[in-house]
Amino acid sequence: MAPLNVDATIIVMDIGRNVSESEDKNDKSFFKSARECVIRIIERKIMSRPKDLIGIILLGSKKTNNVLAEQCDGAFRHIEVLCELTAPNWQVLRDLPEKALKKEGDWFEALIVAAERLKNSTFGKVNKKVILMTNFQHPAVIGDNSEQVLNGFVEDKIEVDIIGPEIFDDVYKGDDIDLARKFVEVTDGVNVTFENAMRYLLFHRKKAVTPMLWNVGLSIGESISIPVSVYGRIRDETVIKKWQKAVKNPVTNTASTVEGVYRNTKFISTENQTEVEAENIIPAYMYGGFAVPISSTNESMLYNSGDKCLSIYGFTNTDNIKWHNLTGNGVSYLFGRKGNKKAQATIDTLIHCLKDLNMVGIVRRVYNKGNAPVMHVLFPVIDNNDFICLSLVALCFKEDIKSMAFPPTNLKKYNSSEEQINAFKDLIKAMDLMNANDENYDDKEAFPVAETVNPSIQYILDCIAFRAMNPGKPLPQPRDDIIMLFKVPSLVEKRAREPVDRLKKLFVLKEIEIKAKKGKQKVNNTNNSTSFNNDIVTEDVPKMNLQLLQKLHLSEEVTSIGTIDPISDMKALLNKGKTLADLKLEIVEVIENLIYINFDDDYTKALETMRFFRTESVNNEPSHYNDWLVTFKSNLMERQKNNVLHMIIEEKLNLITKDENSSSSFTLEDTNKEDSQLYENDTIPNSTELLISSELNDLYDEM
Amino acid sequence: MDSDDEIDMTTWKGIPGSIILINIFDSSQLNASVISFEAVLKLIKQNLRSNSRVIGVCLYGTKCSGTSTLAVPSVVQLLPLAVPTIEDYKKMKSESVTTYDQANDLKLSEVFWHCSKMFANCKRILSDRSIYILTRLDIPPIETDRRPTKKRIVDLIGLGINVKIINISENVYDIHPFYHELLQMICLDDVIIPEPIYKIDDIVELMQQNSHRHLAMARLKFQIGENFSIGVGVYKLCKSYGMPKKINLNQDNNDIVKSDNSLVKVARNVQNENVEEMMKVPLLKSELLYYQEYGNERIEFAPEELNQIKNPFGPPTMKLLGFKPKNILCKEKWFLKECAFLFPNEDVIEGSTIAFKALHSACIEMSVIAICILCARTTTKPRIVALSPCVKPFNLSVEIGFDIIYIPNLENLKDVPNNNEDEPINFDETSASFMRDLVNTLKFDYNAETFQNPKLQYFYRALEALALDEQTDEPIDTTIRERSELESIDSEMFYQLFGSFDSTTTKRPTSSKNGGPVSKKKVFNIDENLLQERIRSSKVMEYTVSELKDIIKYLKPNGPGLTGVKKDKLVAYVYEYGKDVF
Repeated sequence: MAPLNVDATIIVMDIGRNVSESEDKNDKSFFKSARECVIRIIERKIMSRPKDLIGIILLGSKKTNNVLAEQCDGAFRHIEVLCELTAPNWQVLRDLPEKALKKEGDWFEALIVAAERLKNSTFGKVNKKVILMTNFQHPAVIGDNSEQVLNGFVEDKIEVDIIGPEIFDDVYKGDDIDLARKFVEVTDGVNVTFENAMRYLLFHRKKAVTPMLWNVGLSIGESISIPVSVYGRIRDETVIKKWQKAVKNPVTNTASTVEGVYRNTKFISTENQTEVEAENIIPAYMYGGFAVPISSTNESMLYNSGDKCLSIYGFTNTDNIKWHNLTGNGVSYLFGRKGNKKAQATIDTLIHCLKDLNMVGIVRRVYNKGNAPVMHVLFPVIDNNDFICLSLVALCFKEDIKSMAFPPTNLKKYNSSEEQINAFKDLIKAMDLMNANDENYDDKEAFPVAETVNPSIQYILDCIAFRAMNPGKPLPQPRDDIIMLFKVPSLVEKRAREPVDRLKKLFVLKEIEIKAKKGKQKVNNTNNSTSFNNDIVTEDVPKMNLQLLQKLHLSEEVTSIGTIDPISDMKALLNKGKTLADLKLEIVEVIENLIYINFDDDYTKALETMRFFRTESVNNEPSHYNDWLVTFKSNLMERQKNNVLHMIIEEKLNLITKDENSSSSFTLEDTNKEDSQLYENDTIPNSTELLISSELNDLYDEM
Repeated sequence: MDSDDEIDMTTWKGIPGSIILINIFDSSQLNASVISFEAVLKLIKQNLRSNSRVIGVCLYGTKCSGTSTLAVPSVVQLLPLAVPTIEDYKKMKSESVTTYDQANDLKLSEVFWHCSKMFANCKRILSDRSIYILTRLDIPPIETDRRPTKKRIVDLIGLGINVKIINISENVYDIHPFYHELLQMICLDDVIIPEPIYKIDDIVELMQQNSHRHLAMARLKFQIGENFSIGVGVYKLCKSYGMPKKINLNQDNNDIVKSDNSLVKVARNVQNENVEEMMKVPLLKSELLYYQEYGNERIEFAPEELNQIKNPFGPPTMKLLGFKPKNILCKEKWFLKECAFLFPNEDVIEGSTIAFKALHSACIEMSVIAICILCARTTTKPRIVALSPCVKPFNLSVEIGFDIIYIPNLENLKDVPNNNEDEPINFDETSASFMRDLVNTLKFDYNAETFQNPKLQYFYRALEALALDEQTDEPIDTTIRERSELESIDSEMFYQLFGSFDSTTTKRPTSSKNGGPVSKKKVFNIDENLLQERIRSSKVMEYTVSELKDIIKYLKPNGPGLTGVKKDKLVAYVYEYGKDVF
């Protein structure tokens, strides 16, 4: 690839008396506008074209500092070469004068000085350019040599751009203007106002880079191979380089020159926390709960991708390729090899043929010998103004698909009505982005694909430029131009108001308060009796015909208490004449089963059974319940089932007191004392989870 | 650093858990249980590769033998509900269903009760619980067990457990009404009788469905208009991870070793080139600065400023900007990176699903895509995305959703030289029709599961050979078309019509071996005297990295691999090998 061209630009900036005043009282002075524009130009150069050269010549300066003035006495006065051609840097910006001066200079002479510099201080192939910023209020002395100078500019291929006044406008008259027009015309230069220039310079441009080229033979079957070239077209890549780290000097608050940051890698054994020498480390993979070292893996058992290739697997209908099938990093364009007309014509035939048949190719790509193969789609691209080529996009493998479960949406309660759908259709019509901008914009379409800039990157570059010029000052908020990049266009916003109002009426939407972490809630939830409701798991569970089952159930004879429906079983057995004393053992077994063999903290059934047992005991003999509960509670304590203990208190299922049945041996105070002991035990460390998550968040921030 | 890769975030805690029940009752169909067992064994093997799912396995319909740990007479627990390990697999492999005696009567309720216990005893937090029943559907449990069975099913479903029945049979047969009733309780509105399946791979596939964690990258409010938002979740349904992650072991004792990367500060000392020997002092976070180099200067930022500038646009959001016709965004030109997937979320805003569905239908009917701004997490950069309505992505059981397509920015676009000649040659209709025939001969039906990653397949085969001591057949490379299918290509005719592609223009010199261009890299001539001098005076650091690599290759032709090796190490190599040579 040919190297990118380097631009050498000299900006001639008028700082004389003639530019110091603003024409309109409220307007900025010409000098101020010019200064802003120069800053913007140089900033852009620093960010995106660091290899370019830039120089500054001040016109109307107090000083006279240029080679020609030294040679010709009396001429080229008040022209100061502020900065010789150099790589763009921040110092140039810092050196720019803050204010216009009282002197005046000759712009024509300044152009000659600039041309001399461009000619004598550049080497090799560079694009030479002079940007002139003056309001032509101080007339130049135009000698007989003007024609000669013009020719010189053409010969040396020096482009002259004039930023500021619209010199082709009829209001500008005079020899000066005529000459200026000629300069722009014959050198293929441009003339723009500050406003237009600033609009063009509104955003940072990305660095131009030579596209990556990949030459390969596109093979079909075993013996056909068409020479082709592949270039990267769309890439998801970083614009900002990796951030470097430095140590802060505590005195200056800037990077230390004597200390550096070094990443120290240590290997720590997870068994005994001791450090292990790097030489002793061998790689392994986790498999079925074991670490399997791979040093002994037989090389011959691993996959051999073969040579670099791009071979057609087959062709398939375009509709088979969905957006979500695509993977990888962007799009590449494929052409027949440069200079090979037959290869190009063959690819062209293939492109048209695929387009006609509504098909795409599927190819296997091995980027370099031994690289893992990746399948790609070959789409035909016929873009009349632009390209006729094949585009390459990677396809996912079966292993990449995550088989994830989603709650059903085809339930009746989720059906939307025709009216609701139509309301959205109205919104779609109103919010048409193809017709979003009024005449003030170049384009009617808002957010055109691949034409809008990335707001985040723009902001970071802004911050870098700000910090360079204002060290130590707090960073600015994003400017409005950046915020506008993701605002609904005002015209669209206005049109959408009515349809949105209709939508609001048609849909019932209820915002849900974000609940506290669920795990935490369950343990601490001592005063919320609704905590038995299973909040998430049962959410989409269908309701069943329970009546049918109940009927089924009643028709059968009960002989023992089961966990399926213990209360009914108990009732049935009591009705049959069994006593509570008879059933006692069976009941407690069922209750304990229901509590110990429980995995989602839904203890409703167990607690209901307990309540039934308790009520029966209150009416009968309290010791049945109380004796059991005392041992049961200590068991629960042992098993750290504090939540169940809390529920027992909450649900008033505690020991039967004397107040309830005089034969009880417990008083209310006894039970309360026990409860307070319980609270002391309530120290399940739940905070570990929170600690980890904040650490993780820090980790995410690092990425 | 600048990557926009979102980090997966758990919203549903835990991992999926499944209990698989194999019916071994009834001698006349013994084979169904054998097939089922084989399928489960294969499933366990597949799950050894990732530890993202817990699986338990039970046989039911067995005769009371006291082998069952929880002493339920008709159930044999082969594997407890846990992440399967190599040992579990080996244990399963040594089992055979035919060695178990069948019960006299089939009972189902007991096995369901046993499932409840297994879920209860499981140590892991489960995001999703399911029971797979591998059985024929012609023999019901005995009369007295039918009611308890149904009651147990009700309980299980009530607890949010998915019960799935897999109908194992070679052919279609009459299904007993009892199972109809059971299915009625499991499915909701319409009862789907599971098709009989008998192929092991198909059975495995069914049990692998929905086995991934339900992970949302973000749960957000999607602002459609002012004061009108719906709740949505953003998911990644497809993510290419390449090879599994390597871990480190201490070769002396096979302990797992973790690497610890801490930042330290070292004095910049010209004399001492070896960083290893320098004084290292731990670096405090407050002492750290980040910088970029622009315009020959270091532009410095404090760590907290870096956080600020990475996303100054506020908390995670999703906002509708408008709509565009669907055809404006063609895949072939504007694909940037893997899509995400948008699904309604009722936990954020109740009633979202209905609105989401209405928007979905409206977009399909009007052939439009929605353009939105999406910032999924605090640390990710907001981006403009398109929402393209989709149905059943990857054939998953999800009826609706939107593909979230990342739209390229100007920064993502690269200039590509237009290679095509100004005066192209055109082929006639014969060539075009030949090409059409060629395309049609190679036509096939693509779906997302057509291609498997051969590198991964081979790698796991090698790993399994080591870990399980098992030899398996070489995997089929799905990325290469079967040779027989390519035979019909008439390459002679092709070359006759399109010609040989010997380039007519001057070719660049190529190395004869693989046709690639000769490396243009400048060969660094090693000045031995200088090298000796530098080694003596400890100034090897003054070489560039590429020079160092050349020197090492020169000093030790079959030396260590040098790609990605840090400069310190390279310098160390030069001193080491230099000693031997000079």
